[in-house]
Amino acid sequence: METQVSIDGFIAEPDGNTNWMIWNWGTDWTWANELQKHHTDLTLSADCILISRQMAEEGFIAHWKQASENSDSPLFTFAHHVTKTPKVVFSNTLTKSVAIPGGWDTAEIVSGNFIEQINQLKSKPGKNILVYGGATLVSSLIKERLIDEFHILVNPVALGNGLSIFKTIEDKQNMILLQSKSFSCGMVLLQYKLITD
Amino acid sequence: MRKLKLQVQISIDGYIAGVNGELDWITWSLDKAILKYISDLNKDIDCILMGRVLAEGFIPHWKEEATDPTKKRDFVKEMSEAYDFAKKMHETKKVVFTKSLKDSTWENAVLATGDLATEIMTLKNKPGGDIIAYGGAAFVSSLIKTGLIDEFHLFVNPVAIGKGMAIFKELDSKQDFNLVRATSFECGIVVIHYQPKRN
Repeated sequence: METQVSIDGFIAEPDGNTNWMIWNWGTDWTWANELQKHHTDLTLSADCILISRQMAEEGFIAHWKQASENSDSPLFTFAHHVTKTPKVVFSNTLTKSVAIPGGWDTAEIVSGNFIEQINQLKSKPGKNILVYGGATLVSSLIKERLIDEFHILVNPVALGNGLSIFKTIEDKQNMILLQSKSFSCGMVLLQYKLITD
Repeated sequence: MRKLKLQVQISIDGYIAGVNGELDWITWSLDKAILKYISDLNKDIDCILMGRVLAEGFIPHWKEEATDPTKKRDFVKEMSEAYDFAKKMHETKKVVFTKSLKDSTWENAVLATGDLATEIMTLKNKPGGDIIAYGGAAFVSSLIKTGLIDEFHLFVNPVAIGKGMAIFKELDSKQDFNLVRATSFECGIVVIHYQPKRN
């Protein structure tokens, strides 16, 4: 999982607003170069991306497809990889008869038992599986302890309240700190591995 | 003007205590480097701010640690450092913010009963060393809202606790910060040091 949060741990304001992020996924990449590299390398380590139904409907696929058309952009390597990598949308209601922005060419719908399906994906041979959001999908993955590694990018802003991704956990989840890094743009990376026992 | 610093233990998901004040998620086995960080952070402090709730536990605890002769095992170096720290916590002047208490029965502690921001400004304008706050949640939330904290030192513990007491929830609007640095320690804690952006 790679996700952006505020200092107080929110991934969005109560209404879903994320315009407080230093880089709000736009075409102008306002992160320090070193952080861009971390993000690109992490994305390149994956050969499967999980997205939420809402992200599929709101245009995640089309957005990065469009960004990958400009090969001069610093975003190109990331956007191109996201575009060609198979995406998995977990949904029990969505079907491919419903058109989504960017189309279904690189995306599959998976339905049924959430935990079983995710574990099945994880047990297949291949590289890493990556998830960036959204809030409900990530919360469910965290609750079921299905995320192995957390890359939390802390923006230098406190929101006061908002959407949390850990609020559904029943017991505390202990982690091992793999590394932390600070970047000149003000972001801090906290990289953790979930302790499973 | 004296600087006001905040030093708090916080979970990955932004809580400084569990719903009922639990602190069992905090990493207590600290490595030498983080103890040095804490010691440096507190070196120029001569005033500790706290709410009444924290004071009731904090002040008697450090008094006992600092005055109980069985704790003065200064022949062991580590114990001696712990004792020095206890002594500092006991002897440093405390200002306890309360609306309910009338008189302080504690040593080295005075009460502040007026408007929080006014009281803090008065303290900051006095000559002296720096001022620090460690908690608790209600007091720190009010303190953050005043906008008078100059340095935030958030000790991010490697654990998510799901729900608990937050400290930024009283903000009326977003508060931007400048990142000073983030330091990771062997014990698993990352200390993130921020300064608030002021207009």
